[in-house]
Amino acid sequence: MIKKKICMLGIFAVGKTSLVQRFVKSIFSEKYLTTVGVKIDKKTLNVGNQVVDLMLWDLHGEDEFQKLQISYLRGASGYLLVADGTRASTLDGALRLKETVDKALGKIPFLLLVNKVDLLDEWEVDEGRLARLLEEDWTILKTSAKTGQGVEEAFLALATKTME
Amino acid sequence: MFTWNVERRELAFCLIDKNHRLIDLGGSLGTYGLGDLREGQDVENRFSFLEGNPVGDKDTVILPRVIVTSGVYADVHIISEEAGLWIVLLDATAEAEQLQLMQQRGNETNLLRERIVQLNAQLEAAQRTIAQLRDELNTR
Repeated sequence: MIKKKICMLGIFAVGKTSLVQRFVKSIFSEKYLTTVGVKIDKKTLNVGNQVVDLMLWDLHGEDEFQKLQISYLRGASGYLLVADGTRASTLDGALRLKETVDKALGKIPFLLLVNKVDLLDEWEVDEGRLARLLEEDWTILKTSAKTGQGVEEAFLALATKTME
Repeated sequence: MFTWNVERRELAFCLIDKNHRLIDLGGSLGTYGLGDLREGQDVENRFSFLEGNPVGDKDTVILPRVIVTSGVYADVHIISEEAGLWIVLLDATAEAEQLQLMQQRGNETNLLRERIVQLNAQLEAAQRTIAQLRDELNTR
């Protein structure tokens, strides 16, 4: 059985846990409950004709209380950088975290997820910034843990990248 | 002091070989949902933090506050030696719960602050629009 360790990264309250819960258990809760430390979930999926176990490390969001623990990143095959589309500052936070990961692990497969696309009327993230990142060959998906939009695609896309 | 600390933190340990078979185990395994483990057992699927997490020879990895079973956090120490891989668990639940309370409060306050800033920006934009319209009306 192929196993791939995937880390969920982003600052607090962007929806990392909600994305994992949507993907693994098909559930969503409106209630915000901050993550402490790390919770590891497993989801098996088919990537091409291979069966892959994704070990999803749902890490606490960076905030004034907890900085990213580098030891959590060890052995990661890839990661999902998550930003909240309704809070522009979370994209800055995601870019900072990417730099941290690059220093710790080198370049490994990742996707940027701009979450909460169900709240388009509250959208703050600048589309121009996203366009510039796309020009730098970033893979960016807009997701909603609430409706499920883009969630399966995101995890499958990252799993596929890790198999290349 | 060491014994007190170890007892207070419900120390549990396992020693596994390269084939993920248990060579030795002990301590408060039940605290972490591992009370059913037995020597010789294949534990490849029992320690989710090991999967995809290679530990090099003579290496030590510390993973703080890992949720190891429902409601239980542990500081996980993974120590690679010739004998095999030591996994040492120390209870971190009380600390994690306290941190969770502080973090929750802090983050909710920060989210409210961000929301106030957003609403103020919208209000200012609306006021500018009103002022502009008023000026246009006055010049007619």
